Amino acid sequence: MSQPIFHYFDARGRGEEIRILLNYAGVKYTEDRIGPLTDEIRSKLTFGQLPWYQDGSLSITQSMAIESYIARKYSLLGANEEENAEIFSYVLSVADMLDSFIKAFMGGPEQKKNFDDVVAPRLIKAWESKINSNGHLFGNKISWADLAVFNSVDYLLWAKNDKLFTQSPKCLALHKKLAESPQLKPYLESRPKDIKF
Amino acid sequence: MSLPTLYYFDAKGRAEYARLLLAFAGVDYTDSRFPYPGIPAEVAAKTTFGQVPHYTDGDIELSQSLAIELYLARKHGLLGSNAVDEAKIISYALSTGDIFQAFLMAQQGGPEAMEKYKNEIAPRYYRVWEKILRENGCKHIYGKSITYADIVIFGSIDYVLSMDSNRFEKFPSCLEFHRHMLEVPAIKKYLASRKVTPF
Repeated sequence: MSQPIFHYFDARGRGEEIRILLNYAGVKYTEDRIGPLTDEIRSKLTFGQLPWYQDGSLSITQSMAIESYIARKYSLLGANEEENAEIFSYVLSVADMLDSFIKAFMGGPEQKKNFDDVVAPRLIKAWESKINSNGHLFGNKISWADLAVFNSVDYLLWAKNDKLFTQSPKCLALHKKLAESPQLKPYLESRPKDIKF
Repeated sequence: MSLPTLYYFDAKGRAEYARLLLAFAGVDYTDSRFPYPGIPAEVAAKTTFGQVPHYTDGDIELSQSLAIELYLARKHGLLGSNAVDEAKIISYALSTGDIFQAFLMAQQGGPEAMEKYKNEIAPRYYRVWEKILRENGCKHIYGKSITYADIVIFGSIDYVLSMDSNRFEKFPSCLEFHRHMLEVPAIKKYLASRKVTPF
């Protein structure tokens, strides 16, 4: 039985969270880091986009579809479907954070102000207040939501946005715990350091 | 026991897919609407991130439109029969989100950006839907029964047609699919009574 294959640009972007989920869950997979999209690769993608994930007979695009599949398959969900829905809402808030960050990066002072003063503080405050006494967003084990928040904190720290977390010790503690975890530490140490986005 | 409640602006926007899912599933609920763009304080207080749509039933308080949609889709058996089905269905459904994002960005970009969205960006997705629908008898984007993906793709086509009835001229299978979905009794009933709003 062949390994799953994960295809994405040689970048973090919308692919890094998937890598984090797979590595945390201990999935042995093939990493296919792609340069500029060629027509040949594009023709294999349903909507011409990455990320793209193959696992046995499954071949799908759309990062949230991929993440949902992985989270369910490798038990990164919660206690029941209501909790799973709430977990997904936090994962989506992480995607909103990334979208706003990208808009700020590509846009002008208004977008930057919106990110710095409105979007980021609101989301970080929500995550901070959700982290429980176990240091998780849900229950007593790491879930998809924790890994998504980790990804966001990690990305923002890498992009030199430390100032966003001065009032969020629990977010930083969650990040530190996962960064130093045996599940993620080897991956984080070995991933490319010179990537652009 | 009070009815489930969906909280959103008096608009289709990011809540309409949830409304279509609720209608299709035959769920009796309170469609709580307030004028755009203000969110009443007591509603904002219920939400997770200060935003709407927000959904509550006896078992859950849930924010984020996609989380609400997936919760409803799962609850009402609209995600296929296995993990592969589910992943494909969600993947097709999410293409509507990309189109909506592209539309929002084009709105902010001015007339030239809007033209590019209409003539180049959106059709890239429509071409994919067109091919798959044509190959699947114009009834379903995946499988042989109505799924979450069918409902939101219908919703996406319907929304665009309500703004511009010519936009799917080159996509007859999409139009056939839309026509077929219009005849689904629960959807027909919902659309007959749906409030007309500018967006």
